[in-house]
Amino acid sequence: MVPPRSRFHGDEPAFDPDFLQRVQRREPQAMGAFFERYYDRVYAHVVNLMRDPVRGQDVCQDVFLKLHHAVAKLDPRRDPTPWVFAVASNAVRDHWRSRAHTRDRREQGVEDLGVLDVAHPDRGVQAAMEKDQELRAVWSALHSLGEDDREVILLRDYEELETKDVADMLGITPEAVRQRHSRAVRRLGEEYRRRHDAAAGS
Amino acid sequence: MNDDRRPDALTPDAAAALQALRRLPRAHAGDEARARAFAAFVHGTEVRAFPAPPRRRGLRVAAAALAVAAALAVMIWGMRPSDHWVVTDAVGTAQQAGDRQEGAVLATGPGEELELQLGERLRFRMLPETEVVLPSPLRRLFGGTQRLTVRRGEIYGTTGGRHLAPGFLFATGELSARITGTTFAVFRTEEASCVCLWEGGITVTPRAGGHHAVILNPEQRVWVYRDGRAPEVLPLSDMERMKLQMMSEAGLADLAD
Repeated sequence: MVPPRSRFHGDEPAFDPDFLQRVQRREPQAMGAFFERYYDRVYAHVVNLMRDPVRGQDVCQDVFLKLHHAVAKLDPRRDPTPWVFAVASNAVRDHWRSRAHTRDRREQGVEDLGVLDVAHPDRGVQAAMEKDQELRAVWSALHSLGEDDREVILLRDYEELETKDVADMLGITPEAVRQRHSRAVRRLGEEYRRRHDAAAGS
Repeated sequence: MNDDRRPDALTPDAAAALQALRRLPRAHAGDEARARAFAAFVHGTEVRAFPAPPRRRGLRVAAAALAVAAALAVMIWGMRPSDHWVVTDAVGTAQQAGDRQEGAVLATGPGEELELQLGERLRFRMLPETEVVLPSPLRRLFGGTQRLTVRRGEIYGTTGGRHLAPGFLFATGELSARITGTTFAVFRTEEASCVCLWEGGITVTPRAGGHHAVILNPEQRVWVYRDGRAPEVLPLSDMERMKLQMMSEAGLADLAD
């Protein structure tokens, strides 16, 4: 099976089974290469979901610690990307269920989902967004959605994972993923338009 | 393009939003966070930049267990008798020993007097030819109603200015009296019962005749008749005044001696 190449990794070679077997055996060089392939993607995904770079770092560390413990179960014949993102999504969900998340939301007053302009927690991304009204609008619209809707859009449209992989990750059927995604994208479009028009009007 | 992506199914707004989304730059972690995650993945080591919240579940369980233990301790403590009846004085051959438990009948003959005290709460003196029925010792909590019954004769008592437990009553055949911090006397003759008040407060409830309770003012007495006549409130007699004053001035005995 040839792993699909995303727009972020189109110039990188796909993992071959031999390499993944070395990862399975925890060979340091292979582990390092595997880490370099995924760390930035996982961190960005976690921050996109959580909108909290500080907690995101800890959650990301949890993700890689879990991957460390589970790496023996890695299937060398398959693209490990869905597996990595499944672990990441589960870690974020664990965080969402945690007291820390509840406390953060209460302390930060993050019930601001109707706010038209939501800052990105990463300075570099925020700097890019300040020059680009469309980026600001879509980021804000994304975070006006519920957690489930936001997650399915990020997995399908930002990380470009296959529907069946997302279905496996979320523990729902591919048809349910399609329905959830369709509904979420429609809402995203509505919220995006609202923010876009508001910015143009001001 | 993914397996089932259908651009034609998207609304223009949704398509524009997804196009913008795909241009969104990625966030980047700092070197320190990256190094921690690297160590976690390659070596299985974990270092927290953001301390994990305290395990409050354990604290809650411990707090609940403590609360239950404290409640049990309070109940057990509350169920224990606070004090016991102690004979503080006796004149003649009056009964000094023997049963002073719940329901015990104490009697004085001609020329005999007996004085008892319940901890630091109540002292009363039985004059000659008096008979009383003791209640159980007061419990610290959950005491319910306890009655000290005067069957005949006269008793003089004081709480030493303290408030007696609200469930503690003095009773005769004709009345019950609720006493709150006072010096008082209870008499019973063949025709009537009388409660005298020197200080503090007493509420006297006649048992017969359907009469209302009488709230005595200091230095008053009330006669409650066996035949159901209306209670009669009168000033204290000189003799009663003298005895009650002495009782009040003596206060409670020091049981430590």
